[in-house]
Amino acid sequence: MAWTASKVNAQFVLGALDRTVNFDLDTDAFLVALYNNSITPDQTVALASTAYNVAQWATANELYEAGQWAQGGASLVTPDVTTAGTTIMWDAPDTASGAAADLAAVYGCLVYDNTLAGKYGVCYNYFGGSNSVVNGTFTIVWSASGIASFSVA
Amino acid sequence: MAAVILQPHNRRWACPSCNVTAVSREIVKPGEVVSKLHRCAGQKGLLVPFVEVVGVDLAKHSHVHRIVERGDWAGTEQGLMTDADGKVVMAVQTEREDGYDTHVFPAAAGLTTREPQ
Repeated sequence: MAWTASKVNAQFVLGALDRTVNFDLDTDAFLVALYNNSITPDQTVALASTAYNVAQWATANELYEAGQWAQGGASLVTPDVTTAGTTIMWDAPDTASGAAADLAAVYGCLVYDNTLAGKYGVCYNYFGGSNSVVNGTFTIVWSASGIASFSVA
Repeated sequence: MAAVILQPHNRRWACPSCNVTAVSREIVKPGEVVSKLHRCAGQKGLLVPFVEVVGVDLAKHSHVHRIVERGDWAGTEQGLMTDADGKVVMAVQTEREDGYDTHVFPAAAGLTTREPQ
C-alpha cells in the first residue's frame, strides 16, 4: 500500500457535472488533511469513499498535531477557479501549520469539501515521498499548476 | 482627538542561500505564519523560503536550506518543482539550531480530456 501520484476523484467530476453533489470550489470551506503511507489512494472509488474519515481516508492514517495542524485538516484559504486558454485551474494560497509543528512520515494530503455534510474529497496530492518537520512550520506550496488542473482540448 | 491608525511594521527577510533580501509590511493575525518564497540563484533557481531577520542581520549559518529530492518516480505528475538542472525537488527544509521548517511541493491533481478514438 502506498501513495503514487496526485489525482482528482472521478466522483468529484461526476457529481459536479450532473449536479448530484453541490460542490462550489470558490465558495465552500475546504480542509487539507495529511496522511501517512499506509494508505493507497484510489481516484475511482465510490463517492462515499472519497470522504474524509471514510475507507482509505480514515483518521487512523491521518497525521495531525493539536494547535499546529488540526485533526480534520488545515483550512484552504480563499480558493479560486480561473481559466487560461484550455486550462481551468483550482488554486489557493499556500497552506501552513503553526510555527512549532512536529510531524513525521507525511506523504500526501486529501483536499475535501467541509461544507458538504458528506465531506467528499475533490482530490488528493502526493508530496513525492516522506516529509517531516521538527519544531517548525510545515507548508504546502501549491503547484504553479494549482491544487487541481483541468485541461480541455 | 482624532484616532491614530497604526500601520504594520516593516518585516525584513534574508535568504540563507544567496544575498537577496526583502522588506514587507502585512497585517498578521495571531497564530498566522507568514512565509515568503523566492527563486534562489544559490539553489539553482529553486523556490526557497526567506528567513525573517531579527536584529541587525541574519546570523551567518544560523539557517541552512536543505534540498530534498523527490523520492519517487515522477511519472505523469503535473507542475512539479524542478531546479535548473531538471532535478525534481520534493521539499526544502530550513534548518535551525532548534529544529527545521519544511516547504513541500506537491504536483497538481490533473484531469485531461482526450479526443474520442
